[in-house]
Amino acid sequence: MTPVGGITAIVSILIIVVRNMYVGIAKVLHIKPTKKEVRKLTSYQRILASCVVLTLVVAGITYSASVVLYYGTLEKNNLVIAHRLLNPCKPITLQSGTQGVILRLDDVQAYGWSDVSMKIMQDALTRNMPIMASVIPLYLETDSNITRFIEDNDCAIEVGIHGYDNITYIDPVTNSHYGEFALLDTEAARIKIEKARAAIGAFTKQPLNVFIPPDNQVSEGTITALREAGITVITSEGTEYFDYDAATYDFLNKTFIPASTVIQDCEATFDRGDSLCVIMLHPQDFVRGDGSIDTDRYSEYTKILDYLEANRIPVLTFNEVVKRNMGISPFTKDMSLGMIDPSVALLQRLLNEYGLTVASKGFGSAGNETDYFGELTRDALVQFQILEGIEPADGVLNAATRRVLSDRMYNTAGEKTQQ
Amino acid sequence: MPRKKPQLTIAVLIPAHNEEKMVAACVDSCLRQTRTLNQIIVVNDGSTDATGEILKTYGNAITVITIKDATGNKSRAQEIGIKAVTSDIMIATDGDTILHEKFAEEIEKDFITTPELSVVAGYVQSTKYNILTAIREIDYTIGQDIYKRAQEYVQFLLVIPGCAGAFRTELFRDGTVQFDHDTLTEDLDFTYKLNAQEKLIKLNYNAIVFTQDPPTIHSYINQMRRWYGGGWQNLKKHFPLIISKPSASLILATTYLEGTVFNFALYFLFFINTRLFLELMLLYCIVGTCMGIYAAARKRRLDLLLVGPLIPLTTLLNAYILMEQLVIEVLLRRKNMTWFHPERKTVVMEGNNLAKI
Repeated sequence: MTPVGGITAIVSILIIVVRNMYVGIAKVLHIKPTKKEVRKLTSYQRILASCVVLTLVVAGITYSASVVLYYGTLEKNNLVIAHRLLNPCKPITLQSGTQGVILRLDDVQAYGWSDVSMKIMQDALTRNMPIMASVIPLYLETDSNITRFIEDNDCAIEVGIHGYDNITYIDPVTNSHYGEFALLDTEAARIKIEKARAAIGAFTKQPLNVFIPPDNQVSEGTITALREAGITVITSEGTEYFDYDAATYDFLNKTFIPASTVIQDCEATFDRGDSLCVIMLHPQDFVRGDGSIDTDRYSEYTKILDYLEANRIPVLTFNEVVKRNMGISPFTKDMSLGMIDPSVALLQRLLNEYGLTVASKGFGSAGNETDYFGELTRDALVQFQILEGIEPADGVLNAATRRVLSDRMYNTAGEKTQQ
Repeated sequence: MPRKKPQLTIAVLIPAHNEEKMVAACVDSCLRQTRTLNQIIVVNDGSTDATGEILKTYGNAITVITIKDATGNKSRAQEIGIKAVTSDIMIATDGDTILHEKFAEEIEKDFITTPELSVVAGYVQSTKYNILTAIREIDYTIGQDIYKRAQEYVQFLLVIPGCAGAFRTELFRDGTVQFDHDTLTEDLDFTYKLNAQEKLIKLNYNAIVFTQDPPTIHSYINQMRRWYGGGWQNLKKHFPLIISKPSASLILATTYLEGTVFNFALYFLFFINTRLFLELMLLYCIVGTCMGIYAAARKRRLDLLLVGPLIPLTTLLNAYILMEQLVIEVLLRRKNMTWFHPERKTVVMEGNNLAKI
């Protein structure tokens, strides 16, 4: 009766296979086992051989048993399960308000400054602020610290997809940098998105509908694949959707940006009439050359959090922003009579919804909004400025008007969601 | 070609203590052998039931040695019985075991073709009774077809089954094997002694015996305690062997070390990561199912298919008993010599129940 038998079985099967192979080969080669006396080992040699065998067996069994126990501590062990049961993730109640900030933490990944990433996220969560983690999926599962953090805080953080491997391709001839998704066709992008979702999906119950393109570059094919996959939030430079407004690092000049500048950038965004300020953070912004945390720089991050807390600026998630219909602010420039721009149609729609009918029928009427900023649009905008007390009421979509318009957008959407 | 006269004489030695339910079947199977046995010796070891009366009905066909007061240990009864053996070969079996009609024929062949052979170990099959014995049958099948085969190849058989061993009688006469009566498992003790003296042991897959295994959990636990307790006692007793023979090191170290280290890890895992433990058990159920399929095909018994997935349960129980006995016998040095006598059920053997191999 063998007590367990896993390793014993393997050893036994090996012996049987080797022996039968030996017998088989001997048969094929017509080697007859001679009755020649097998050279007997001396007792010293036997003891030595026995000790070698013993050492190997002891090492093998101890090693495999400890591997099992080691995995026992890595995986969802009882302590983790008990801890999660006793300390369930507390959802964050998002503040309401006309403006909002998103903390977008990029490059959350296995091992790469993951301790700093977790500290950044934890500090936001302790202040009851949600944070958006833009995760690099490749090898994520190998770092149980970061996956456990994501699982533990699944209800409070928003997880986004930051590519799959996030490797930048550098053209050897032109020296141009291409992000992972910069050159992909739809099929290639589709495969990568599926892999990325599967890798992150193991640790979160979230729909994973936020995509942060590596190096801020996406190909047309990628956009198609993302839309097919039901990804509603794409942050990218150059498109009108959720570009970042402030960051803690200037990639062009390779310098750290202090909190005061970040705050100024956000205020400027709000002043432009945008209701949403996305602050882009990277764990490596707060790390010294040797990988340790740079406390001076890190205090700049806490300053940002302090500022947001003190000024009661709501910290939101991308999904919440979409729900509130915020942040999609196409009005980034002044617009006036005679201009042709795609965003004019939205302006006309908003004015129509506000109750200032641009036109009762034909161009400019509800459902028939156009790109052309004509006299009817100007007149409706003047009415809007008078009603909202914006001076001068000159029919020019300037910063002050844009800000009020964003507020109205939010309020209309807010009422809708309350129903 | 004229038939050769048998060159060897063969005896069977059956120690019996309160075996009224099975002893008749056992003796009958000895009498039915295709190669007639020269001696059938039954040692009635102080039976207080009808064993004595049943044995009397056989008259001169068998030799009965009656011991008035029970010796309390099978090896003592064997030691007394062996004095009456005059044959060249002695088959050691139990009062609850049934020999296949070709058992004697098979072992005789081996002893004739290989003169230097000291012992032939038979192939044990468990009599069909209930779920517990079915699991045991799978265990026997895997144990003998894989583990024992490998052990035979490296010339270190861990144990010659106490119910299915055929020895050259001279081994007991010239002092090669002595009765020490100091362990719970005399068969294991014999095997260690034979191995230490480099005696040649063969495993004959056609020399089949049918044994009755514990039908209840209680008797199962008792038997495993005796086996594992005896296992540790013998390992302690013959410890020098482990570092004087490489094949002994390999077999003994894998068996006992895996039995303790891995089992301990498994139980420990239950506490630190129940989820992984259950996942591993599920995996083991699949392995058990495969073992069940193999055993069912080998033994042509469909019921083994159903019990295969239950193997992890008895494995966990075995693991616990092995560790318990390690603590009792080795760590606490509390030597247990109690003889557990499993309860018996009368089993009627049908001719076609004998496996064809």
